[in-house]
Formats: sequence, structure tokens, C-alpha cells
Amino acid sequence: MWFNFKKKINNTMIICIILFIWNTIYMIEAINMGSPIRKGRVDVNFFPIVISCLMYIVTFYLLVHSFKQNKEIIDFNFTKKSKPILIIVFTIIYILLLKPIGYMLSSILYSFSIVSIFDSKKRSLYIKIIYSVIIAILIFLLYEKIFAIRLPKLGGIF
Amino acid sequence: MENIQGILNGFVVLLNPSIFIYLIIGFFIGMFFGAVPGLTSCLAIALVLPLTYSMDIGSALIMCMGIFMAGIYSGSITAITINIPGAPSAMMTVLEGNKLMQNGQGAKALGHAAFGSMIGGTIGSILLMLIAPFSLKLALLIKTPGKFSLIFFALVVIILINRKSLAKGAIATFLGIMFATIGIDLMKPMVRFSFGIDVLTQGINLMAVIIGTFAISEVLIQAEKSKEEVDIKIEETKHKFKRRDFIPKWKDIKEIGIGAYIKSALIGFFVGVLPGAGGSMAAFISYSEAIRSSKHPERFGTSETLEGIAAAETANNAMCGGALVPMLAFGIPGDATTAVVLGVLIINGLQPGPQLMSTQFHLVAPMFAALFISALILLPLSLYILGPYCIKIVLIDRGILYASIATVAVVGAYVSTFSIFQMFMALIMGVIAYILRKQNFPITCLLLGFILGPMAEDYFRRALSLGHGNPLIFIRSADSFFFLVLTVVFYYFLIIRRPVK
Repeated sequence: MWFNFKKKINNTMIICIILFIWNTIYMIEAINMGSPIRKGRVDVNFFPIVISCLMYIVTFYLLVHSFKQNKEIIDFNFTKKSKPILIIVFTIIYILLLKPIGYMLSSILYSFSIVSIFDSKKRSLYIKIIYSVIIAILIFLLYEKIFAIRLPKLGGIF
Repeated sequence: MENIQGILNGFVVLLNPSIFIYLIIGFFIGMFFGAVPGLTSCLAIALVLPLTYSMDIGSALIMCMGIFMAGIYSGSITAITINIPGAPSAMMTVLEGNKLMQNGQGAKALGHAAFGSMIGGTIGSILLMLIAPFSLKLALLIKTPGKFSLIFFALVVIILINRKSLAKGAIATFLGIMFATIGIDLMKPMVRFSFGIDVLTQGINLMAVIIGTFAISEVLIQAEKSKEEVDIKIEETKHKFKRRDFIPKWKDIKEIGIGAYIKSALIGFFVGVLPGAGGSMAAFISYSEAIRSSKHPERFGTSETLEGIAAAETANNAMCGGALVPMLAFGIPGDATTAVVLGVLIINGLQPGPQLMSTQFHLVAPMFAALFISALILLPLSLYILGPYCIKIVLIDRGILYASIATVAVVGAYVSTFSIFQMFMALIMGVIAYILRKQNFPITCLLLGFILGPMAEDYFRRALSLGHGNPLIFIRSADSFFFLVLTVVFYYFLIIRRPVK
């Protein structure tokens, strides 16, 4: 077959394609701002247009170069990626919960999730909870007590 | 004379115990982050960055200097003992260091690494104190078109130094510049690149970029590593060192040669001055030069010589002083760590450059003193006191370590901006940096592009306004022309001639 997707497409090429799409959106936004030169003076979109043009050139070069090299095969095995994906999901939840439920509770839950993700020794649940509580308390003491930075609290207490 | 007085005052500031304690805290934070493989001094400063909001800026900068010096040095500890460089700058130390360790001479290797770091760090700090005032005078001579060309030169060098892939370096830099354009324009009260999303009008906070690119991306990278990849054999860390074995013997120092130490320190310092070069390049070039000039080049890579360790460790710590020169005088960071230190200045409302040096020298001088004291006193002292135990650092539980880093990073993004949106930006930057790092895109380029991009655009537009829209102003202006020629010269030597193989 002339085009074998798995063999021809590699990670760098995918990044180049994403960058190409981002750059195009960026360029359209820049062009929509109007003429880059007004009354003989460069306007707010002149510099971004220059950078965008350079980005097109370099992205195209890298795309062609990685197509020719074709050494790295795209990794379709997502089991290795599951931990980073879980961390991203838990971080989103943590950010959303930080203000509504306060620092202490949200941080204990977040620390617990990260400790569990990194746990390779299959520790007991209690140990992981103790670790999480200690981490959350130490960070709380660092910010609130040592550096007097106020953290969000549930009901003004935790 | 005025400068000498100012620098002496910097040392006087450190005599205050309530300030000196920040240097010691910073030093131990740096030592910890440098020694643990995967963590760097840059990440350490990124994590303490939110705390600097509530600190006296002078103390914050002193703490950063302690982290910087210790972080570069302590990478050698794990490089020698367990064959894993704690920091990228210790990659050359592994070559002979671990061979010496296996040969039962681990303490000797650690002692020489610390001695080299002490010499390099001290010479680098002295050179910084001597050169910084002159670089300030030089910086004051540069006019607006020249300032643009200087930043252009810095951005080009940052890309060129990334020899593995120039295209990837360029893309990361452009991406950083593009992210920096989001939000309100610097010169005209107009929103740019908000893409119809209201919250984007506030732009992306520097803090979010630093925390995302260095802290969150690191947690994601580490999460992907398998148990086998990160498992450190407990037996390797059970080795017991005697304190007296750390003290380098005069015979060995003489064999390496005082001249070799000075040469390595000078290489390290001047590599540090180059934008984007960093400690690993300083160590690499110095190590290569040591092989070239050695009477016994065949001994490199074996346990028969200490020249390699001395060259690499002297150079990477001398780089610390060099990297601060362009950052303080021109606002151009010499490496990733100084880029984050630059962030400390910017978020505290200080603009690095000639004005900072001339009007706020009372803040800058203690930094020089802190770097000097860290190298000359804290560094050998820490090895002597903690040396027998520091190898145990690597045994810290990864779950506790990365849960702490992740929580500090996210909370740090919150306390520095009090904005949920900026916390999400930190996460997005972390994910972008993670994806880019996986494909060997240098994220330091992204950060430097983000910091230098707005400055480049500002000077570019001002210069064109001065020249009534005529781009020839960049050639007619002597200082600008000089930096453009310098860019071509660097391109020739770094790309066309390719001297280092």
C-alpha cells in the first residue's frame, strides 16, 4: 500500500500539523485586525504576522524533514500515557474545587490522587491518606503561617 | 570605587542573620532539587516563585542565588554515586565520577567535584562583580534599534545553541513569542489574539508559563516513567563515606593544574554569558577542552584521572556568574534558571537592565555576595557536613515528592494570580510543554521567547517609529549594526563551521 498511516506518520509530524493549524488561526486573527502598516507606521499586528510567517516556514521545513527521516513510529499504545492523562484530569478537578471546598480538603484529595498514581510499592490506603494529609498540612503551614499568604477555606476554617 | 562600595554593602547585607538564613534555606533547597534526578534548580526557583510575592525582594533574590549555585553543584552527587546526573549540567561528571565510585574512590570524586565547583563558582562570582559594572556602562550606550538587534541576537543564539534541531528550537521560541502576544498590547490599549474568548484579554501570566513549563510538565514526564526506569537500588545508596576522604589532596590538585581550573572557570563563565547556553554546555565544552589539552587524553572516561570531573564541575558552576551578566545588564537571561530569576524580578515589578543596575544596586549587590558565599563557603561546608548522608536523598518516595511538587505548583499558580483562569493556563502550558518535551523541543526556548518576545516587539516598533517606518534604521544605527553583524558571526561559527563534535 502506498500510504501506511502507522509507518508514514510520526509524532513530530503530528505536532507540526497541530502547529500549522494553530498558526493559521493565529494568522487569521492577526489579519482580521486590519492593515499591519497604517500611516507609514507598523501596527499591533505587524510583528505577530512576521512571527507567524517565520513559524510557517520552520514548521513546513520540520514537517518535510521528519517525513524524510521517518525513524520514529507513532506510539499508539496509550497505556503508558494513562498516568499523565489521569494527572491532568485530577488537576482540572483540583483547580475547579479549590475555591468551592477550600484548600485543605481539595489538597488532601489531590495529593492522595497523585500519591496513588506514583505509588509503585502498593502501599496501604491508610499510609497514602496519612501522606496526603501531611503534604497538605505542610504546604498550608508554608503558605499561611510562614509566608502569610491566604488560601481559600471552606467556611473560613479549612 | 562606587561599585566596590556597593558590592561590599552587599556582603554587609548578608551579615544580617534574618537575611542570611534565606541563603542557607535556598542553598539546601537547591541541593535537594539538584541531587534528585529529574528535579532541577530551575524547577526549585519556579516553585518558590509564588512565595516571593510575600517576601522582601532582596531576600528572595538571595535565596534564588543559593538555589542556583547549589542546584548546579549537587547534580554531581548522584552522577558520581549512582551514575545518574541529578542535573543536566552534571552529565559529563558521570563519565569518570561513577568509575571512580566503582573503584572505591567515590569520596575522592565527590570531594574533587565540590572543590571544582567551589573554584568555578568563586571565580564566576568574582568575574560577575568585575564585569557587571562595565556591562552596565555598555548597556547604557545601546539605543532603541540596538536594543532590538541585541534581543534578536539573543533569540537567534538561543535557537542556534540548540544544536540537536534548530527547527525545533525555532518553533519553541516562536510559540513562546506568540503566547506572549495574547492580551492587551503593550503600546496601544487594544486587545490582541483573544480569539473571541473574554478571559484571554488578561493574557497569559508569566507565572503560569513558568509553573506550567517547568513544574507541571515535569510531574507529567515523571508519571510516565515505569518502575524499572526510576528504581534506584538501595544497595547503591548504602555506601558509607568518611568525611576526611572528601578533602582533596594537594597532589591531585597539582596534577590537574591550577591553570586548568582557571581555564575551565573562564570557559564556564563566558559560555554562561551566551543566551540559552547553560551549565550542560559549559561542562561539555570545558570537558572537551580538558581532553584536548591533557597530557593523558586516553585516561578520560576511566577512573585514572580527575581532570574531567574538575573541568566539568568548575565550568558549570562558573556559568552561574556568567549567566547573570546578560540578565542583569540587558534583561536577557543566560539560561533557564536565570530566566526564572528574571521572572522573580518581573513579577515583583522590577525591570532588569541598566536602570535596575544603576538605581537598585542595593538589590543586585547582595545577589553577587550570595553567589560568592554559596560557592566559597556553603558548598564545601555542605559536602563536609552532609556528604555522608546526601546520597540518601534519592531514596525519597516518588509519590510524596511529586504529590508535593504538583500541589505546590497548582497552589503556587493560584496564590500568585488569584485567578482560576491563570491556574488553567498553567495546566495548559504544562501539557503543551510535556508534549513538546516528549518530542525533544527545548522548552527553555519557549520560556525565553515568552520573556524576550514582548521586549523585542516593543523595541522593534519604537525603532521603526523613530526611523519613520524605514527598516534601514537597524543598519544605520552603529550599535544595532554591531549586533546584527555579531548574529551573522555566531551563525557562521555555530552552524557553518560547527567547531564542537
